[in-house]
Order: sequence, then structure tokens, then C-alpha cells
Amino acid sequence: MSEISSGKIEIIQVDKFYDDVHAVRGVSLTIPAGSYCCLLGPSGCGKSSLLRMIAGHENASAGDMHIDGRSILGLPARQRPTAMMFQSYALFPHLTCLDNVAFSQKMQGVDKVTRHAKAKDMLDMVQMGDFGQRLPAQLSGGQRQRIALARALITEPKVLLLDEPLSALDENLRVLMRNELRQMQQKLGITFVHVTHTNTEAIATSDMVVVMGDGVIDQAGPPREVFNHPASLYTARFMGGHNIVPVRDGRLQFGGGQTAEPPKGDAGYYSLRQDLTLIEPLAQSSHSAEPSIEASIARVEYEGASFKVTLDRGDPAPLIARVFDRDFETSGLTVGAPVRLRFEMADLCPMRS
Amino acid sequence: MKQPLVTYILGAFFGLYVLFLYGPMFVIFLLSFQGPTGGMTFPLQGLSLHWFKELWAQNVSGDVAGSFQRSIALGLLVMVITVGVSVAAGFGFRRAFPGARVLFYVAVISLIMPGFLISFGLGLILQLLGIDAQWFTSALGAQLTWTLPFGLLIMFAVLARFDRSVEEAAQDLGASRSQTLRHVTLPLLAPGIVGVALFGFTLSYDEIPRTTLVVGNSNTLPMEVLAMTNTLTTPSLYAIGTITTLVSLACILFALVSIIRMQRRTKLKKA
Repeated sequence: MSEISSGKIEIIQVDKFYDDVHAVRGVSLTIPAGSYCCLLGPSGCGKSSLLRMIAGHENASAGDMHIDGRSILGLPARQRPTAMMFQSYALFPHLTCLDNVAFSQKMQGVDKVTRHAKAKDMLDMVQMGDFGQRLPAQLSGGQRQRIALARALITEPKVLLLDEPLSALDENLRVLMRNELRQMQQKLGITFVHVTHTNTEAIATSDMVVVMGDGVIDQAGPPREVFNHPASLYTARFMGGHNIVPVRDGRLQFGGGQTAEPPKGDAGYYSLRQDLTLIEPLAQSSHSAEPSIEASIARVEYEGASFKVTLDRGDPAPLIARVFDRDFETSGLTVGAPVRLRFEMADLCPMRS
Repeated sequence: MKQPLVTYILGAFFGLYVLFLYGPMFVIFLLSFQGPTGGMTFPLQGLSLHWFKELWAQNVSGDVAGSFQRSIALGLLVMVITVGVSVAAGFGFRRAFPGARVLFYVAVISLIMPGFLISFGLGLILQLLGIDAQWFTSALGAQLTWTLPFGLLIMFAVLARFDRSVEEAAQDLGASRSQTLRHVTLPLLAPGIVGVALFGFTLSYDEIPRTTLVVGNSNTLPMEVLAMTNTLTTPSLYAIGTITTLVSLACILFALVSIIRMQRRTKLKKA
């Protein structure tokens, strides 16, 4: 639709209190125009409150919000250049899909023929053209989501706000629909802000991942940066897929008294991607380079494409390595077997605690 | 299939309960079709519509037609006011305001007040103030002390199940508050509101204790029938019972059918 991207969001020192609960604490964030941004975090981290404040369904207790340079503070939801897709879609159960999509036009007083024609175009765009006369009750979860999407997009918003849009769907459909959302966003060129508590969903869809915890932003950046270089213990744990190596007395701690010289810097923790943590049976190991860390296998879990191998190392939390399943069969790795770790020091990422 | 003994005992108990519940009504219904030579008790002397004709021809002592009209009018009046006030109050209670809980208790406490006492007290006040009791003023007020708390309770139940995200969605899509109310909230609450209306009408239609001392010179139907039981000694009395019961049943049936039709349209099935 629009060739020039619009929908730049600036959130400036925003707070939200619910009675005594400080749900959002001085959050500042700039979301570039035409980008797909995921707000990621566990329930109660303030991500939904932030989304609802952008939509105008909650008022910020303090701070300011701009869309394309204009303050939206104090504007009611219907006057903001945003549209929201609700968690359970909030379709109007008494209206047909066509009338659901045409609702905003009806409120503006657009005549029936014109608004139905436009709603039909929107239904075609989400491949629901044949479902115009159905009621929401007669649709599957994925179909309802498409109707909700069409209903929101007919208002030609600069920003589409999606509140856990995939949580009502089963696993297969979730992967399918997140792909469709991403394609839709790229086609329209508007800003999408998508709230989720699923890390894979966030990194698969977005240009920008914003990890939130306890009302503040822990880390914000492109998905590859956030996944590869988690800046904190919190983000590393939430993104998953990382081993965490603590530093004590100036040495990396690998358990069982085994230590290594850390890279430069004074970080308290380092992360190491689990898939970059390689292991080989001690008996076959010819590797003698530093650091030489040994451990024994505590558990093995088959995950389809790979085996998840958990290494017991005593004091710090267990290390996890992933072994491609064909390699595993010939590797001689079994529970209790002693192994040697192999990894590149360059893959260690410093983190704050 | 062999069932444990307790099933038969409980089944028999339930049978007795149903007999006790509907038996009296059925007896009245049957006796209202008594033959012209029959009396107020069994046996039936043939079946006829004789006693309905008597009633129609106003050959009975009481003002049946007049009181029936008054009862219908009063029932409709009570219904309209109950719906208006209960729906508005239900919406009011959706936003938490200081003292909401106390106000709610004050509003519903009249449900447990003995009806006759309300009538008695209201009658005394009217006498003190020198105001004449009328069915459409004082009796209306007395009945509202009964129907309003009922209506409010129903609205609470209806609104508790109402998903407010559809209202937010409407406003997100550019609807004003009044448009949201008209196009989304009220259509979705309609089955519950019909329920409130039904309660308002039927509670008024057969109300006696609250009405009894404040109805004035012109009786409502239940009051008239109560008076007639002393003087009317023909099966026409049963004919009144049959007709009024049919009116009540028709109201309930109409309300149920419309509720079911509305719900069939709006009920969201689980995906």
C-alpha cells in the first residue's frame, strides 16, 4: 500500500502504575518506521501494558509517546494511527466476517455498498474471500486470526499492535501464521509491534527484539545480535540455547576445579552458544590446546535432529552440548562417559549479571 | 441394566416432587373445563368451555377484565423501568467507585425484606402524607423494590461473563462510546436483558404481598382473584387460573425462544 515507510514510534521515559504495582518503569525505546518489533518477556514483565499504552487502551502514568513525531499522549484509541489485534482476536460474535471487517467503515458512516466492497478486498488479501458470510463461531483459530488481521488493517494504520497473536493456535499453525504475519508486514511496509513470550517466535519474525523483564527493557536489538550476544544473564536465560560460564577470582569456572583465562574485560559471566559447545570422548581426543576442560555426560536426550547432551560439572549449572544425530551414533558418547570440551574463545560473550 | 436400589428410591422421590409441583396446576386446569352442570370439585360432568364463556360475559362478581388489563399494564411498566434501571446500574457498577460494595448491598437487601412489611410501611407513609394509593403509583413503587434488585443481580451475572475486549476492539476501530454501546455491547447483552425483562414482568404479574396494602381502589388481577375466592363459587375461578397461567407461559416461551435465537447467533464455539 504505502511506499514510504511510516509509523516511527518513540517511547520516552514511560511509567505505568496499577495502584501500587509499578508495571512499566521508565521505559524509553525507539522503534524505526516500517520495522517488525517484538516485545519479548515472561508474563507480568510489562510488555502487554506497554502495547496497550501505545494503543490507547491504557494511559501512561508518566512519560511521553510519539508516532511519526507527534505526541499521541491523551488521544483516545480511536484517534490514534494504530490498530490492535487482540489476544483472543475479540471478533464481534454477532456480526458476519464481512461486517466484522467493515465495522470501522460503518462507524465512519461509509455506505453499505462501498464498505462491503472494501471489506471484501481485505478478506481477499488475507485469503478469506469465501468466508464473508460466516460468523466467527464457524471459523477455526487460524481463520479467526486472519479476519482479525483484515479488520485491523482496513483502517490503514501506521502501526499494527499484536497482543500475543499466536497464543491461541496450535504449534504447527503458529509457525505458519508467524511467517504470514512477517510477509504481511513486509508487503505493507508499516510498523508491527508484536508481544510474545516465545523466544523462537520473536527471533523468527522481527527486525528488532526487545527483551523485557520486571517493567524495564533488558536488551533491544536485531534478533541475531540479541541471540548471539545476550547482554545479561536474564536475556541469555530467556533466549535459551546458551551455556553460562561464571567468572570467579578472575578465572572462567568450568566446575570440578577446572578454570581458564577469560577474554579481556571484567564481565561477571560469559555466554557460550550450546551448538558451538563441542564435545569428544576423552579416549579419542587428540586435542591438547587450551583450554582443556573435561566433564562427564549426565544425561542424553533425543530431540529429533540432534541429541541434547547434558554435562555434569559439579558446582555451576550443567553445560549443554548438542550433537547432530548421525554423528552421535558413531561417537561412542554414552551416559557416564568422560569427554573433553571444544570451543573457540572468540565465541564467549561477556554479560552483566 | 441393573441399577442400585438408591436409584429407584431417588427416582420415586423425584416423581413425587414433580407431581407435587405440577399436580395442583393440572387439577385447576382440568377443572376449568368442567361441564355446565359440574361443580368446583371432581367428578367432571363432561368437558366444556362454559366457565370461560361465563367469564367472558362478565357473569362473575369481580372485575376480571379490568384487573387483567391493569395487571398487564403494570407488568409492562415494571418491566420497562426494571430493564432501564438495572442495565444502567449494571454498567455503573462496572467501574469501581468508592462505596460500590455498600451501595450494591443496600440495593439488593430489599430482596430479603418481608414483602408484606414493605407494603405496610409504604401504606403508612402514604396515609401520613395524605396521598391516595393507586396501582400505577404506590403499587408500582412497591413492586419495584422487588424487581429492581432481581434485575441488578441478573445484570451482574450477565456482565461478569461479558468479555470487554470486544468493546476495546470497537473503540480501536474508531467507534465512539455511544456507537460501541449501540453496535457491540447492547446486541451482545441482549439475551441477558431479555431475561431481566422477563423477570420484571412475571414477578409483577403475580405479585401479592407488596401490592396488597398499596394497590388502592382498583385491584390487580392476583388481588382481584384473591378477593373473589371468598365469593366466587363456580369453576370460572379455575378458568381465570388457566388463562393467567397461559399468559405467563406465553411470556416465558416468547422470552426463551428469543434468547435461544440470539445465543445461537452469538455463541462462540471453541476452535
